[in-house]
Amino acid sequence: MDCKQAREVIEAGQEALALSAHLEGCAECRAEHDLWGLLGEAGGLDPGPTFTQRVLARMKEEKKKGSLWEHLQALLGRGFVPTRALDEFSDFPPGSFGAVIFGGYGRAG
Amino acid sequence: MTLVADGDHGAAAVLVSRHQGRLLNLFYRYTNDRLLAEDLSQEVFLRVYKSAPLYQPRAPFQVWLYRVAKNLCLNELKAKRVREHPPEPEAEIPTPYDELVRAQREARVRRAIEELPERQRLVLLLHRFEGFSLSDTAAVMETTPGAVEQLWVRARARLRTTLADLLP
Repeated sequence: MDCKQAREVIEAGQEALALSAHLEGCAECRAEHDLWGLLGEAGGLDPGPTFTQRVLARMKEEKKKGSLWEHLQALLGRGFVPTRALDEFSDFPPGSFGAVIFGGYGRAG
Repeated sequence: MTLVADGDHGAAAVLVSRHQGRLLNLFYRYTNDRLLAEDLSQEVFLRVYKSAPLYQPRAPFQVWLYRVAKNLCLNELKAKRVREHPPEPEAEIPTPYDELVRAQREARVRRAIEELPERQRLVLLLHRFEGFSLSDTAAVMETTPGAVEQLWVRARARLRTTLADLLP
């Protein structure tokens, strides 16, 4: 076994007689092997039994948000919202929008 | 993904349960922060869910999934990491002695990984812990295998120094 093969065996997480023999005579691969093993001590987490449920609940929330947004977009796309907004001003005299927006409408003079 | 895009929650549940453990641990080892890791892995699944209708299988699904995770790590984690949660305490388990030593070693290794520069850390996690080959790691990282090889070499060299006292 050469160093390249030894690294492949180490990185595959395998132990083999041929690897042991190679490690006996190769300090560099032995260091690789030791580091690879030590990193395995980093530990890990178990997602727990409710993780999937929590993610699915958030997905459902997103879906609701998404459908509300789609509904608004559909309304905007049809020009429904601006039309309704302009309808609100239909009772004001012509040319009075500026006064309404800048706060002058209804003042004396 | 087609079923997920159609809003099939059963398919979404299968997708989450298949990948949750590995993603959670990728983020846990990346951040060394349990709660942040949970938030981030949930975020990946939400992004996958939202972009499912646009998903085009140009790369294997797993590569695409981990790219989402990688982008979260490299681009957005800094903003999120205004630590809402305290860092993971080191070695809480007091007795027996062997357990304490084991917990201390584990905390040291996790800390050493956390202290690696971002891209070295991701390469290490994808290759050592997620089992990606160096070329698949390059696909996830959206870089060349040569660049990944360099990051992998540097990460190992740095870890050998940081963890020298734990190595034989």
